Amino acid sequence: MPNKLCQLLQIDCLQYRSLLQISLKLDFRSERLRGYRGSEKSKKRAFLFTIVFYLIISLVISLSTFQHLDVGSYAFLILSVSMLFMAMAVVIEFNDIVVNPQDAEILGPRPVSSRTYFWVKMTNLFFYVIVMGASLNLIPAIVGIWTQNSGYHFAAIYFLVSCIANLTTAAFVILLYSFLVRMMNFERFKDILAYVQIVFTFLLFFGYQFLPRVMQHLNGSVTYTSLQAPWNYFVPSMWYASIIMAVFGNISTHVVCLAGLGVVFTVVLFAHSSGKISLEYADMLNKLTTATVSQVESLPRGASLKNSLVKRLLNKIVPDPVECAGYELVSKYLHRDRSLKMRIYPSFAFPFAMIALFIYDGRFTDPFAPGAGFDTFFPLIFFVYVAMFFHFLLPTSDDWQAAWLYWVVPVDSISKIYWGAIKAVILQYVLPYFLAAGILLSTQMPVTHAAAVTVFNFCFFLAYYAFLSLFNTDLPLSKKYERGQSNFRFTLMVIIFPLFVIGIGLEYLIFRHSSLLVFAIGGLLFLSIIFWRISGVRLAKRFSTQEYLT
Amino acid sequence: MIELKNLTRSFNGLVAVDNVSLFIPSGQICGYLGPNGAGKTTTVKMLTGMLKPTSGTALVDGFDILQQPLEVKKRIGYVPESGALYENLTPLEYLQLVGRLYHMDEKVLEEKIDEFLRLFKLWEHKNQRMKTFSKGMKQKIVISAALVHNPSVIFLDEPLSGLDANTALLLKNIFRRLAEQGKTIFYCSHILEVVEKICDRIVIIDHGKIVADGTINQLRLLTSQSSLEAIFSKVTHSEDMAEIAEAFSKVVGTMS
Repeated sequence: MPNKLCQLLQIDCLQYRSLLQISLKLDFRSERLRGYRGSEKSKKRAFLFTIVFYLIISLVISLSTFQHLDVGSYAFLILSVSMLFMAMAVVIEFNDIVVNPQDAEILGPRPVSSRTYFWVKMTNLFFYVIVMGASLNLIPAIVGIWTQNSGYHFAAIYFLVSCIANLTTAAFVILLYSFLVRMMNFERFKDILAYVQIVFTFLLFFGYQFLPRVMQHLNGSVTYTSLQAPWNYFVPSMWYASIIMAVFGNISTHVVCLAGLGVVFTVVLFAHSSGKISLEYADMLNKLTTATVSQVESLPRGASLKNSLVKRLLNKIVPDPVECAGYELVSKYLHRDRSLKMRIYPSFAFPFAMIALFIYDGRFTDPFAPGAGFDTFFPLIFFVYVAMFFHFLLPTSDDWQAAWLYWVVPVDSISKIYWGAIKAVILQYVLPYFLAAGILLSTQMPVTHAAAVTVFNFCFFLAYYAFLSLFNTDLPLSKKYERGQSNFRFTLMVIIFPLFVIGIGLEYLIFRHSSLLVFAIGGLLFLSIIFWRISGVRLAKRFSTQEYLT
Repeated sequence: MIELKNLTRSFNGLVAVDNVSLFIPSGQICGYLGPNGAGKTTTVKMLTGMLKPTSGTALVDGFDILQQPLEVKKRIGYVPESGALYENLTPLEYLQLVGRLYHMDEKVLEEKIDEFLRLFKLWEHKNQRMKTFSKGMKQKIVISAALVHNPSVIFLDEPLSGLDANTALLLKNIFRRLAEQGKTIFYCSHILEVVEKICDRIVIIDHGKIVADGTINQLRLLTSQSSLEAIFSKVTHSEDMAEIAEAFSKVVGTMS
């Protein structure tokens, strides 16, 4: 940042440069977390993965829409996607750049002004926003040249506006953060973040399903003018699309008002950020390190009876004390560890969104009925996506350093802890989902048919989850979460999408020949047991050769 | 010097530091003791500008912590109990960052870092990431980072944690010499023998309030106790430790 700009923003130039340099250095330094051979995770690779993922998404969207849209509606569509992705990336992956309690511990007593520190963090975040924004908008900017009423200068204008729109989105998220942190303690704040992530994931998947439905209703093409309606004033991507329209010479009152709204919003947001927010930023961070005093809640009446019943049931399901310890540990962490919840819970949005859309479309049909299609299987089979989240994230925790315990406990087979964890996931998260799905399906078809579909899909989930466990290398909650893993999972989901289609095809064939159903269920259960036995032996063997190095 | 004026801090209605007033002149090592949760770290966090007092204020080296927090921060060095540092940096990178935050001259900074690392026997590890360091090695870096800019007031929260006996001895000598140079040292610790040995004055805090203040001899006279351990136990109304130990060891026996 040039010295004059530093003076204008009232920040200390030397401190700014030193802190920014270190922030970026730390961001791109991989962390060797454990003494596992070859297990060093690379943050650079994760970030590169994100970029490639965004490039693919933007290529698909721009190529599939540019022929149907004019310059304004095309800009609106791509900017909407870009701004949504950006907000999601900041909330899910990059929030720790701006809201990091460790920074407050280390830098709190240093003579760094709130403004300097704020702009270091914002620049650090903006670096990612610019790079990710470029990967989301570069291809659409070029493809947009060939939309209706466009021209060669579209690429430059669109790209510039998209940069501003993305930066504004990120700044807006930070504004919301500072507001939330001021209103509540850090633990509650993380709770809110988890809910926001779930909402974002819902939006993403609804949008993904909603877009083709909108496209089906398009006759010929959509123009900016045909989209004009009062709702435009509430959609920021429309404001920035209108700026592009204004530059293209479309100077109607509507366009000018919307474009003006975009400009005013951007200016006010950045002025407010560089003023009030930057001044209070250090206080906000210090608040994160403040101890929170929580009241001990007394157990409600009847809770002890319920607890004793649960305990007895648990003894039946998890009779081994080591397994039970694994079960208790993971179930408590899945309920209490907000970071873990924040990463895992959004995955439920996908199957839930699918169910909601399929009910809305009336596509839940009886698979045994003549002429039934594939549709009923889609929402249920997609629950295996949740298995992927559990597989990748269950080994991670903010309290990963407590994993030394695994190395000192005198247990005959460490894989028992893993079994306990698997049972906790299945009993507390998977089973309730399939029960609810079964009840829902029974409203759309005979109860026995709904039960058959549900049981088959539940077993399919078990087999898939067991298959994934073959690749498991870590015990539950034993390693640190690395930024970029969420995008990695999204990308993986896109890559393995054809596998889902094959699964659905197989399921369709089995339900066409109902005599095969029992064998198929038995086969899936058999496979699950075999996979889990193999993975248990492998995990125990691998663990016996590992050393605990931090 | 440090001057606390009715300093108070509460969290959700719970008063952690309750109306504490204290004056510590330059050149004095003041031991600040108290049981767990007594309010020691909260006091230090307020004095270092990491927490805002609910009421009252304090002067550090003549500057008000509320009115001139940056001036205060320029003059203090802080060794936190958590020992937090950026573990993915090397000692050299971390100390350079800290020095630059205080606008230290690059040449002086390089020389000082060089000396610190040599004295603490970390020179050969200067380009190694601190993630691989032992607790004691990290603590040496935390202490170096607190002193590199020559602060006039030093806040030490369990500074000897994780250090071997020789380094601990070295540091006790260093703190003594720094006090002789006129620096004020605010020393929080649970290791009473060390406090007894190096502190000119001892302040004991319990439930956010000062319950004892004076030199070790004054406290001995006041409480009719010979050791600091006994004094501490008496003024903080500790339960009978022998009884608790007996009960605890019985429970341990029944668990096996």
